[in-house]
Amino acid sequence: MEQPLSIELKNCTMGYGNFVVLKNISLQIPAGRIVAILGGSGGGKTTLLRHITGLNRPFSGEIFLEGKSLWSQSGRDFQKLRGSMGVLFQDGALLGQLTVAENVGLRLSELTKLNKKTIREIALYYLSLVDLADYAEFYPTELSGGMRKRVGLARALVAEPPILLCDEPTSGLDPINAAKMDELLLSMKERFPAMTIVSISHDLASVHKTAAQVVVLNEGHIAYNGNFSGLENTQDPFLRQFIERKVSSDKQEEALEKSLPDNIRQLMYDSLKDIIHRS
Amino acid sequence: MSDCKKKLKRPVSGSKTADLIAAIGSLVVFLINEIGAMALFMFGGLRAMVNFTSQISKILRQIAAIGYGSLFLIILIGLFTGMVIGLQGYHTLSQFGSTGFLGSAVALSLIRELAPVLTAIMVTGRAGSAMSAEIGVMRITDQIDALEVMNINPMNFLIAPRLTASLISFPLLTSLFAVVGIFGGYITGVLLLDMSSGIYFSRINSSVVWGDVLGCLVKAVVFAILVVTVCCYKGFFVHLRLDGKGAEAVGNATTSAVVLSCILILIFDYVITSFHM
Amino acid sequence: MKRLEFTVGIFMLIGLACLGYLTVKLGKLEVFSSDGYTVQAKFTSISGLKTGASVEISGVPIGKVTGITLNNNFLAVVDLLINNDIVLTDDSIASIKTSGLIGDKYVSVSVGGSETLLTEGGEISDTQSSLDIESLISKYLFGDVK
Repeated sequence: MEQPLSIELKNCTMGYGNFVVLKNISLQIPAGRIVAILGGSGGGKTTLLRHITGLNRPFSGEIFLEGKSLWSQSGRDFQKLRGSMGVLFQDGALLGQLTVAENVGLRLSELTKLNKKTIREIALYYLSLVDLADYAEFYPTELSGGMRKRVGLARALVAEPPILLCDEPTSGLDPINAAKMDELLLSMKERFPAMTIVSISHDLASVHKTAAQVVVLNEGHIAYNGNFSGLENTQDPFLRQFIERKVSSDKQEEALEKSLPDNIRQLMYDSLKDIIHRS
Repeated sequence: MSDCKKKLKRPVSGSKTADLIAAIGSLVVFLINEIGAMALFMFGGLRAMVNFTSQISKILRQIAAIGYGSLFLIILIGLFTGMVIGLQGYHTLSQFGSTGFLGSAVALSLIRELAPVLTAIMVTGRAGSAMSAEIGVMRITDQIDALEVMNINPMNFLIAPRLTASLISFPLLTSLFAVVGIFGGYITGVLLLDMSSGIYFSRINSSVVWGDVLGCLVKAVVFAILVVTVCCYKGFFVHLRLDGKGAEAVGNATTSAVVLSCILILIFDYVITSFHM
Repeated sequence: MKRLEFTVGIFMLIGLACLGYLTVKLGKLEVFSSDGYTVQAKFTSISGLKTGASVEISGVPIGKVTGITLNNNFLAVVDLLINNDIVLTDDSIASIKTSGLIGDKYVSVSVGGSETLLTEGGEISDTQSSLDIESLISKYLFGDVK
């Protein structure tokens, strides 16, 4: 035993209703690392996140957080264990009726007896970590997608939980904002070295510079679990495709060469000539 | 997961009668499940109301939305309801030469039936649908999951303040409806049809007893719990709907919340009235 | 925040005023303990009389019916709450009357000349029961009237 484990899954089968998404998954995530969980859409990434956070209960198997089995805890201990996680949801999941500062301080205002002024000060500090202190009085709908995610990150960081889970931290962002988010996660790692950061993403490029451990999910099982260089040198056809999809895609080129038959194109132009101006 | 679709199990068998019985059976099971889940949801909400001291700002916000927001509507509907009963009652009673009873007719029909039922239905349409849609959107944008992960009980945060606010607002709105309606009857009976205002009000005074007012308030309280439970429940479990995903499911949830609330209001109205008589 | 509290305040004020009107004025809910004394009267028939009906002397309301029960001899025992400023003698007569042909029933009291006054828990022994129009008509039609 060299490092304590932060998250451990033992033979977990997960899904919803009677629909199995992930079969017999075992995974160990040591404390204090940045871990990237990758996979195509529908590969079970979000399912994994929902089960780790205790929103859904696995059909079989056990989930350990900080060495304690999540589902054998009762009541208050379960909540305590869940409280050791900060979660950044896909689009931030900010409450629309509250301002940014109220969102960040929500956990404190709901669960503690701290006064409003203190909570506001704390919220402003965490907002300043994500460079959004000037937007404290804005409502979530008044912010851009990237800003909402950063507010979500600030909310997840309150009280510096030992585990930070991020669902698609960079998806839907332009390259500059995505890079900013990556840097932000890295700087959080520097600021809070003991924190385990799990980033769930389908986006390979943004993740490979931040992750110390890479897990690839495919069709309900773990296709790869190791460091990034190992993933680059793999010979597995699925993984190769997964990596190279980013670099070049035969399908993409094929699609560019395709063209609409001339008579159909002319038909389309003719039918639209009253609607679209074309010189 | 978005691609996880639940498929309705259709029993396959040779005979049509067996299919029919199986279909009816699964419908009954579904209904029993739904009723049970809704009742549990209601008890969860009522239990969470115990913490009302920590929810005061949220309760105030909801009273403003449910109560103050419906004020103008209730005054308008109440006034016209009272006026039309005044008109109808006057012409019916004049056939028996007993127009003196108009006050009783207006006041009793308003206090016993129309005020609680129409108020509840109006507030369902205005505030109940908004509740259902708001909670539904919170569900599909992960906001409720975010609350749960932060160990903030959605029952405490979302449902209980709405229940408390409705339990305060419904009786007040119902009383307002009744009083405005009685005034509406006064407008038609006394001002337009030249009845004596003394007879109108003394008839009201002598015919309405405490039991009528109590029954009216009991109905208002029951309808408050009913409307909030149904509307919040439909929004809260919008992600489990089979008839749509995302925005469509929220729309369907809102529709079914309003329809179901109205049906239950009328059913419970009958039940309470039959106990009360 | 001030605006929110103001709107809620307005709503509560209007609502409570209407609730108060309904309960206290129309529902006659006794907020404070009732101002009066209770006397009893036994009738052979009270058909149509309801709790809350008024008690009148010469057509002036002086109290109301607070309870109707049946005693061991199958007589209707009616509790009358009489206002404190009205004194009744023990030879008063209580009768059940109808306002108009099909109107509400009420209790009419005519005061006698006795020196003894009724107090809390007293009984009006001289009573006249409800006038039954149907039996009167049938007596008239079928010649039971002697």
